[in-house]
Amino acid sequence: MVMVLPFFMGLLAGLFAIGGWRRTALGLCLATVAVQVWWLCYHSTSTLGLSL
Amino acid sequence: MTAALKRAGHLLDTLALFGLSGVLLVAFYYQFALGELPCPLCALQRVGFIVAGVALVLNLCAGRSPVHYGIVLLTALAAASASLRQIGLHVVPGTGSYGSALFGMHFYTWAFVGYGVLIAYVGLQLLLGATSERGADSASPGTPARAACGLFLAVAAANVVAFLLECGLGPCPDTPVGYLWLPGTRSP
Repeated sequence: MVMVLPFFMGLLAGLFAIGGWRRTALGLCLATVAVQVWWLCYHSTSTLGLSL
Repeated sequence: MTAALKRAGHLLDTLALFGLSGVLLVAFYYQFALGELPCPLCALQRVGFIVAGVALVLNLCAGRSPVHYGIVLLTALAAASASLRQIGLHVVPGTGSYGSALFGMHFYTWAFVGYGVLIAYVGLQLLLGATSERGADSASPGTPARAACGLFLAVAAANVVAFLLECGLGPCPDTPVGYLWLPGTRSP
């Protein structure tokens, strides 16, 4: 669970976008959203640190 | 699409990109000036703003396209889910909160509002008739758009550095107490 990964992928997508590599940037954006959802599932199903 | 609507669409995208950079800069202010470290769910909410910003950079640099707005919708939904999860964690009285409040609401609640605004923004752009402008139809970005893209990429790069310092190459702790890669910043 590398927290910095979606940030790095997002930055890379931004650099490709500004460089005119549209398809690569779009692919990286979609991959970043996939990682975002994956990490979200992990953090949404982990044990709560609260006593409810 | 008329030229006036096209110009309005580009202007709105430029303003929205400045707005996203502003949101991330406010988060940085609270992180570095006030010492409020982002939690994992906070990080996922920031990712949403970054991916939405990349989609707007694509609009400004490669021409507007409904595909780019689709990316904004997908990431806004994912990040809004992270906000909702965090709101749900603290909605029960007595369960406390994470971080400080701004104008009476915590940042995860503001983030949820922000994603709602982003989704409404995409709806507005599509109502304005955002069609694919790629190829000969797409104009090169002007100075304000270039400035918006440059500022946004700088803020995105700063986020990479900030989360590397805080979490290293692993997961962030649920309640972070310092920067993993900055010795002397971790409280016991």
